Amino acid sequence: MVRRLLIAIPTLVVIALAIYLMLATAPSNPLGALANDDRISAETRIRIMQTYGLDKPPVERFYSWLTAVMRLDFGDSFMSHSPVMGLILLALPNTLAVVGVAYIVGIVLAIPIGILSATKRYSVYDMFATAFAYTGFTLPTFLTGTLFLMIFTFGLHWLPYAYDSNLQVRDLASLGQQIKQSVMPIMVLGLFDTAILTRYVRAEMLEHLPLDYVRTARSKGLREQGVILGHVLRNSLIPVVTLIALGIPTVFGGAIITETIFRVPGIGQLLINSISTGDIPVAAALLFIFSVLVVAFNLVADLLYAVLDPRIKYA
Amino acid sequence: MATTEAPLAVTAAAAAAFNRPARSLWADTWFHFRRHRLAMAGVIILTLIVLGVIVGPLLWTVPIDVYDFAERMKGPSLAHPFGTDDNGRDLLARIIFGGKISLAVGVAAVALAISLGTFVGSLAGYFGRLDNPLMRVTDLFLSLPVLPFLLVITFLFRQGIESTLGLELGAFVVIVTVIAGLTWMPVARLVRASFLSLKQKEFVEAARAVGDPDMRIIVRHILPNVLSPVLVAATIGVGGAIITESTLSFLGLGFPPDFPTWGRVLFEAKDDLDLAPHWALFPGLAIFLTVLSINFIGDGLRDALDPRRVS
Repeated sequence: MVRRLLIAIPTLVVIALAIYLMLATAPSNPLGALANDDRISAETRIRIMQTYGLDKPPVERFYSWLTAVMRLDFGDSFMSHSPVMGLILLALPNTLAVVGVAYIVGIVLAIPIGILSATKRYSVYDMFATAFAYTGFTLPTFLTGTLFLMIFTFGLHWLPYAYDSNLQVRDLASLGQQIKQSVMPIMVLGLFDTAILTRYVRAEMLEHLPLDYVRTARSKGLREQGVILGHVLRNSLIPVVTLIALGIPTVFGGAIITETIFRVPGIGQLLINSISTGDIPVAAALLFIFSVLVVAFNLVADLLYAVLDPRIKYA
Repeated sequence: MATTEAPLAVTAAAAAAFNRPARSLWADTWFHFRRHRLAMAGVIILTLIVLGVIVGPLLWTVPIDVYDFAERMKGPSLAHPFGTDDNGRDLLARIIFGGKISLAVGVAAVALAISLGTFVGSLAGYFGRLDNPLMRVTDLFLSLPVLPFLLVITFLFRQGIESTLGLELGAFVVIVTVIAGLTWMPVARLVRASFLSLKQKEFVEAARAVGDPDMRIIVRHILPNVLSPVLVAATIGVGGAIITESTLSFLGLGFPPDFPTWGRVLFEAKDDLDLAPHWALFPGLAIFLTVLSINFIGDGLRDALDPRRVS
């Protein structure tokens, strides 16, 4: 357990280094453009360089970037001139809520669909589930998002177009509005999660169904339901946890697109805005935050794996 | 073969199968691939799309950038089979043009990713000393959030490269390199795993015994055995790369506005979904059909190349 944590820390340090190198070597450095501007005198240029610490040797600059990152201090945004971390903390709960609820929807739907698909392999039901899963992960999130907008907003007028970030839940009516505006972003991500998880659950169940312990469970007189839920499902879910962890970067990628389409004010939208306005501090900070999230969720999955499978021990 | 273990089960059909002329690996793969209905449907759809993109510009000679404000956001008609966009430009011509870029990006990015992944994977799998450091690097890349990095790297580096290589080629090179640079890891792992088991096999020992150098053993003896899983990964990777490029363009951060890739057309269409649904529908359908048919082909290949397959 401690070893896992100890691997996560250098990973993040190396990612911080990678982000630093990327920014330092990029040809389109906004500060570089400023410093090369003819209208700025030599003294001003040096002063700018000194203010931002650009006159120091690279190693020292990386060290100060690293220590700042460790304190989660990413400086101020070029655009709003407020601390970057404040902007991120404001947006992060929205992203985590959408991603989290979508994942729960995915798990709740995928386990029963996967079980039925595996136990009734090659049935009409299985064919439908397979077709659904295929469509679900072949349709990229930006397509499902656009399609949902066409159907539910412009076709049926059921759901609002853009997400209203000023909406505060005070009573039942505003709660209803909040649910209405969250449905589409969650559905888009949830559909993708469900599709992938269904395939995983089905494949793992099929691996386990012909094994000896299943026959033993059946022959000792256990009901079929008990065999499937108590034995096969429990064992099948263990590898599914790892596969879920491997898919986490994709899920956050999907969140970026979903937030852009439905204008959910999460960190994905913040990233797109910061890139299109050239707000480097915010973009760099978000790269690091996304990496922290991915590493953290991988860690959680690893630990969960050990909890689910007592044969695995992290010394 | 199962026939030696169960002689009683040998029927006339099995005997006929046993006596048939020998097939090469590829003829055998094709034999099984042909029976995979979805994969064959995929081949047909993809062939049509590729043909459309290559031959299309010869048959449909409407230019992609002629503004016609009298024909703004018109639905499909005889003059414009896919309709027009908000500047009255013909969507069929734009989608044909965009398809060429989207497909080229997909194939080029995968070719690069496969080469890189195979290179890293064979070194890590063959040379024990390199295994740990190379796999740490691979794991590190695997824990990167791909899309955010893709967006930021493309943004940071495209200006510099576009100014040296030109707008179109510059964007192409940046996008292909970045997609490949962030997607080679699964291939590296796959190749390494196969190398680890294959290098213990007798045929490698035999090659070493006759004095083959490491390089020759890797390229001539082990790599051909890794080909089939890599081929499957490559096929499915093309679909993934097309989606990634479309995503970049859909977010407005991919190809410049003059290059209507499928994602770019969708990006332009997304603010007028209520007025011109056809504008988003056709590029969306193009992406969906292409990726779906590529995935089916990948699945068919996987089944056809699987040596444990029961026919």
